[in-house]
Amino acid sequence: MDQPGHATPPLMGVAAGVPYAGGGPYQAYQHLFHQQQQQQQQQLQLFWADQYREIEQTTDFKNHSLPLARIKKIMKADEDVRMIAAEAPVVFARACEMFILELTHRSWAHAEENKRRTLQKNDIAAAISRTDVFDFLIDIVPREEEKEDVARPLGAPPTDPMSYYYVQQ
Amino acid sequence: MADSSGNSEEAEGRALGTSTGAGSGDGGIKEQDRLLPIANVGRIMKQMLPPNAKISKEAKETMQECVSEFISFVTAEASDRCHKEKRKTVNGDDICWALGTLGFDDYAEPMRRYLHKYREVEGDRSASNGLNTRSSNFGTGDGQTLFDDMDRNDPSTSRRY
Repeated sequence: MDQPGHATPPLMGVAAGVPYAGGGPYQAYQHLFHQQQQQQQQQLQLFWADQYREIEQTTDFKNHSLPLARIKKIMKADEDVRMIAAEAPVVFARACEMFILELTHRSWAHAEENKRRTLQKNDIAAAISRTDVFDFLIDIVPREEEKEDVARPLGAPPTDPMSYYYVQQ
Repeated sequence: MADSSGNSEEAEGRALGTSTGAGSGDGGIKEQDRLLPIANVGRIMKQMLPPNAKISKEAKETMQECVSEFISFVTAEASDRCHKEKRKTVNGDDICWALGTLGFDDYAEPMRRYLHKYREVEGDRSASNGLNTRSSNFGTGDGQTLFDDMDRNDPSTSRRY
């Protein structure tokens, strides 16, 4: 990707024109949470389609965004690994790029939920705890995941309880 | 001895997550060596964010750790499979297979595509320079190994998914 990520549509505030069918604050948060999840799902679909398209257009296999030698070193840290084909770090360079992009995307959703413009470690922790395939990362962010939003969908309000009802200008 | 194929000190250093390299006369992996450079990682992260977004240093460091863990996680699975199939060389197919097996379904297919294209582009080169003496059972050259010693006695078996 050689351009900044597309501006994500506002996740905060009730989307204009989408009626919310009553109930108390708890239902409101649930509703909004699901809306956000749907939006995020859609964004992720677009993301994967983008990735596939980019790969189809790849012709340069010499220049990578991550150093192959370092990748090889990390692979070799595993005792059981003996020989590594030259193509393996090349594949990993691209796969790691996708991994970073996906994890960043998911983490950013959490930052936006908390109305922050700075991505923090706890955003990454939240993304890890929300995504099954990232379970293997659980030990990297052990305590953080408990602090934030495990409880939130169940009713603990975010910083500003009324913020969800502001329509994005 | 720094470039051995992995001795216990290296593995230990990685498991402990601390630098065993500093001042230890070194068989261990230095802290920096087991992480990808923070500048590269940060740059990729930025691609996914709006222009006015910022990334805390701690977040970048956490991402570094996550990526290294990702590499180790996938490599272990790929390496296991090589062992089971009595092959000594982890290749691109193994990585793609491991991605699929570990639940990274969205990665496996694009990466297979990527690998295919890579082999088309690079295969001619490696086949013609004579280094690739192992049988390329995939029909395209799969590139020479990065290590000094090529395992010429290892007829890597091909497999199809």
